[in-house]
Amino acid sequence: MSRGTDRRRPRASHALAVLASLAVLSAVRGSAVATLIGLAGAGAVVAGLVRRSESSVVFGGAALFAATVLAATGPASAESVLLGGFGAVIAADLGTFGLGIDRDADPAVATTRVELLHAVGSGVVAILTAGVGYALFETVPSGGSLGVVALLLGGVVLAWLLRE
Amino acid sequence: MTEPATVGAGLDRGEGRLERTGRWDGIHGLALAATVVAILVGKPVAILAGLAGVGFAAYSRFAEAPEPELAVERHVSDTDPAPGETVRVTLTVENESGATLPDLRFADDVPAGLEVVDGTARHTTALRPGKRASIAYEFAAVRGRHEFDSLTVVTRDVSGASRRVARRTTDRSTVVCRPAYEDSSVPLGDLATRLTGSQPVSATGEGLAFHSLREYRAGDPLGSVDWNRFAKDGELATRRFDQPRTVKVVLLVDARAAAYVTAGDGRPAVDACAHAAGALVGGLAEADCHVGLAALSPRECWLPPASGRSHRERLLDALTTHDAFGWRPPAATRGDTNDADGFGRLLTQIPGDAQVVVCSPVVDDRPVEAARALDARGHDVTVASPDATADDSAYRRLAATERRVRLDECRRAGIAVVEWTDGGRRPGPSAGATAGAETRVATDGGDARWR
Repeated sequence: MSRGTDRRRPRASHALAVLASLAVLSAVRGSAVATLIGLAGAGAVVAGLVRRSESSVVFGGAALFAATVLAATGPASAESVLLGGFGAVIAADLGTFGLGIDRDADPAVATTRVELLHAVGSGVVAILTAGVGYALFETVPSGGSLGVVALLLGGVVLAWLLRE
Repeated sequence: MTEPATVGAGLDRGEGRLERTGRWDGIHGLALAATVVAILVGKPVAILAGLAGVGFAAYSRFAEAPEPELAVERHVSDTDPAPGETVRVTLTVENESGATLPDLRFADDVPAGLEVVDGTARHTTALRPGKRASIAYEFAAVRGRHEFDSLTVVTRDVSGASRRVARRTTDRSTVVCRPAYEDSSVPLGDLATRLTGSQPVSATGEGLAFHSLREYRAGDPLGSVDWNRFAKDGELATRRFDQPRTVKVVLLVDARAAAYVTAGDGRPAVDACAHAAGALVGGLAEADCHVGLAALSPRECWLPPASGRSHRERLLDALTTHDAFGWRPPAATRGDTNDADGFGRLLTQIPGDAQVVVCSPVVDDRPVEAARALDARGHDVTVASPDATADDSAYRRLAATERRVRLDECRRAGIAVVEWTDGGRRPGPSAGATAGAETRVATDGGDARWR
């Protein structure tokens, strides 16, 4: 029977979302407050996956991101910040994608290929963006004026993206 | 990152649209928030977290959901099943786009009324060029002509930011399920045609059964004189005999949208009415009545009373396959609302010497109004009413009470009422089931299915 059942199929997206959440937790472990917020975020992601609540997953991702930014105001390294920031987005992305698959596909249908394709796409974007950002951050000598330039550059890119 | 409620609703066959899913809405805010924090606390490293917002915002604008070129094959195992038989449908989709479809979701548009009992009518996959994906499902056959002729397809770009929704026309596969209607009848009135027939009515003439005596009138045939009475009393009297006549009966089936109510098993009351009318066709035809068929519905159906085997088959075929008695309720009518259910037209079509049997669940006052209007015009009217009510909630108990009140109103008006005990209940595992009806497989292709 395809109706009236509540069967669920463990999906790759669910596991990858949890992994991304754990990666964020490892990235923010240097700050106790950020770790607490991160734990709450990871818990929200897991709870959202269990209860099929997209809003909970999105909230968890936002909390993970907030934990990362909070950790960045402390002694966190650039690598940790990048891992935390992108991990938080990927956790929410894959979590909501998996829930969408749950909703649209019958539990009997194997959807690993679609999920992995989506995960690879998001992963590639994360690696490329983080790589470029990290390279810029590391190659530019530290200094007040250069920091401002970097911020301005970010603002320009943001304004361009927000134009629509 | 959440998406709007539903897509695909309201698309006609051959239509499609490209739309944003909205799953990346707000991603820019992450970059903005990180930048603001970095400026406020003077920590340039914090801006690196915002890069995620920048990168994924660009990613969401990078690609557009692909336009799929699909070859669709559908195979139906049985095109003429009996009610309750399971029919297997196999649907194969081949990607002829020349490019990989990273996220392809499709669902066969299962016709209204059919319930998938095994397998699934939808699929989600990634499909490389030239590759195929198949689904197979089984449904339980029910009365009607069911056309499989479309497919709902949703493609997304790899980021999921946009999707293309389309209802694609496919080769048509038709399944016709003809129930075996039981023969049944209802008590009829005295209204008859002037044609000699076999129905005993109040008319007198040259029959065999004795009716009454009356005073002899000049010209009465000597064979009809009651000589025994003459020998006893010395008075001439003429014997009168019943004269069977031909009776015309029009079966008026309530097929308005209001009659598509269900009692929780997913079976609309119209189906019960169609089965009742089908049983009456057989029963009345066996009694040599001339039987006609009409639908109280915006979808016109009118077969004038006639007799004969071919006419009987035409009536049963109409009850099985005519759109007026289909599983999808009629759309709301626009413009002329004075005759929204076609009753005004029917008044001009129903012969004056025809009796009318109204097959209706009587879920509102309209069938009562129609029956009383027909009665006022001189037709003998009978209401045959399948009970579509239930008693599992206060609201439904109220509806059942209202129905009984309406039927009593008919009786008070002198209209015969027959509480129709149903045949033709939906076969298969859902018969009598009430749970799970709200999760029935969508039967209108594209409606409220994909998100």
